Amino acid sequence: MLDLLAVGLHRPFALSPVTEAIQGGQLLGLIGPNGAGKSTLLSLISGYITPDCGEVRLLDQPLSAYSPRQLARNRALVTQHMDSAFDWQVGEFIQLGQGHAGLPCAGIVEAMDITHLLDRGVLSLSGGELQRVTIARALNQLAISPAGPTEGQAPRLLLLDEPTSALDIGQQQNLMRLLRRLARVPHIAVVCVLHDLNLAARYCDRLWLMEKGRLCASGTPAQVLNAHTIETVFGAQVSVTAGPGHAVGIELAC
Amino acid sequence: MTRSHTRSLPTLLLMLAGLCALLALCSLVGSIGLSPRILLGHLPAPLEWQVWSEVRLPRLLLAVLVGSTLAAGGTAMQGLFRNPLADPTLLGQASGAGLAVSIWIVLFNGRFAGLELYGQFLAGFVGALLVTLVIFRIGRGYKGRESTITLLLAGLVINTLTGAVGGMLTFMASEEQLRQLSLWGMGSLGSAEWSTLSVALVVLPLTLLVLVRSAADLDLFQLGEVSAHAAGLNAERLKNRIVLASSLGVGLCVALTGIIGFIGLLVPHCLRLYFGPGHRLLIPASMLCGAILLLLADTLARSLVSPAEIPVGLVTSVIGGPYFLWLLLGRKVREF
Repeated sequence: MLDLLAVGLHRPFALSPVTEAIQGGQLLGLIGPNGAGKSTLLSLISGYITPDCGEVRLLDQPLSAYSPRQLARNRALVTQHMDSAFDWQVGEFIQLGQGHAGLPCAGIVEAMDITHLLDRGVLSLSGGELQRVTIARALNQLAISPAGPTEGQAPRLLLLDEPTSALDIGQQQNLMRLLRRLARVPHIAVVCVLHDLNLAARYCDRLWLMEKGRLCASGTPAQVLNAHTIETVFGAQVSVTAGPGHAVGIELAC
Repeated sequence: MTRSHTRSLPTLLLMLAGLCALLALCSLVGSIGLSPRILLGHLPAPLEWQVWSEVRLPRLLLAVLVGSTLAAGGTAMQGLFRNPLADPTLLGQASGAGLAVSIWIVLFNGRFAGLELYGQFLAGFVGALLVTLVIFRIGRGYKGRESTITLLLAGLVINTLTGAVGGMLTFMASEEQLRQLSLWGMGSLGSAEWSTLSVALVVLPLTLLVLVRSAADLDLFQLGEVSAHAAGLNAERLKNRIVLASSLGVGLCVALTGIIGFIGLLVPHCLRLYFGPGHRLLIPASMLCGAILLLLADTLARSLVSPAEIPVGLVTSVIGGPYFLWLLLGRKVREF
């Protein structure tokens, strides 16, 4: 679905050229220590930053060939922080950027567990509630309906930057299950920056491990996450156990 | 589903009806009282007809246009800066336009025969545009409370600076220019004539149209620049459009009437409490409410001490100043 062809950046943050592909029907986790370049890579993938070298291609077309509105139908982004200056009602907020007329897509509000928040203002929400509302808005922009088959067969790319950072453990599980379920659809790909390695290992099909502005490993969680790599990249002593399928479990050493 | 959509149309229609009724009423009130029969097509005495058609009507139309533009311009600027304090007066946009017009009056007026009025309009536009670009540059990169404080400080400095340079110009001005400067500077609709109104009748509706058509994009812009881009917005194009349209609108208003403060702050803030922050409703509602407010303020200004009149800028400042203080002192300050 999306190809990165030697995509790199010199400024404001140096990113060594990355050549990789993101397939439909895939939940991809971007992991790495703070300041490794995960959000920058996500911005390049989204088209917000233009690379200094290489090219990002969506469906075999360079991103520059799409108009902003065309891109918005195929790709949505959830940023780390959402700070609104005005008190949007949640029901209004999730319809911002909606490409279709009428109500939000069926099932989004229920899937994100925000039905009880619809009449609230976004300024009154907690961090976790706002994060769920922001994700619901992105799903609605792409017309992705968790309740049933997504409208049409147009490819959808959902990009999320630390979507679980403000969520409690129940909501983290709820969100990751939803993303996992969405990414089973062949024309949907989900790319997710995650700091929780256990969540990444448990739910992602593939992981890209970033360190100091370069992609240092990519593969299934079992291929990428081992005690030696984690100690080298993160400086943390852990024990890694094999889980179901490609998943692994990571435990901090005492 | 949402608070605004259920209330929107009836309220907007009510405001439009209120504006029409107020226009009719205000056209009869003033130092020379006119009979309501003039509204029903009865031809009055020649003097009354002249007062109604040559004095009242252009003045009322100018009030509607300027009130609409200042309020819609303030709403759009607040949306663009993502800040409820981004008012043309507070940020210095109006005083920038004012200084440019003063410079035109003192240094260039009379040198270009027949172009005085257009030169004044152009000066207002350039002054407002320059200040908007400077403010935009300064405000970029700040968020939340930091952004508010930075913008207010920048506005304070620009207002002080333009005040100081404007003060220097008064020393250079001739007596005739001084009278012209002081009459224009206090903010008044008294200069309204069909000839001056012709430019406003073309340019201001165009700027309003641009603002109305930018409403959906302004809504998206509230997601923040990165998310708005991902949601399909060409943010650079929107910024250029709003900066140009609001500068043109505010610059022309200032050139025509002097600085009429607080309408761009007060109107969107009050309406947002009722309609919510969506610009598709907020901008048309601001246009209607701004027109109503300036019509009322102007009618007060020319009726309170009739046959003399108070500059309308003083009336809006007397209403808007305390409201702004209340905003700063009251609980609403948390929203900034």
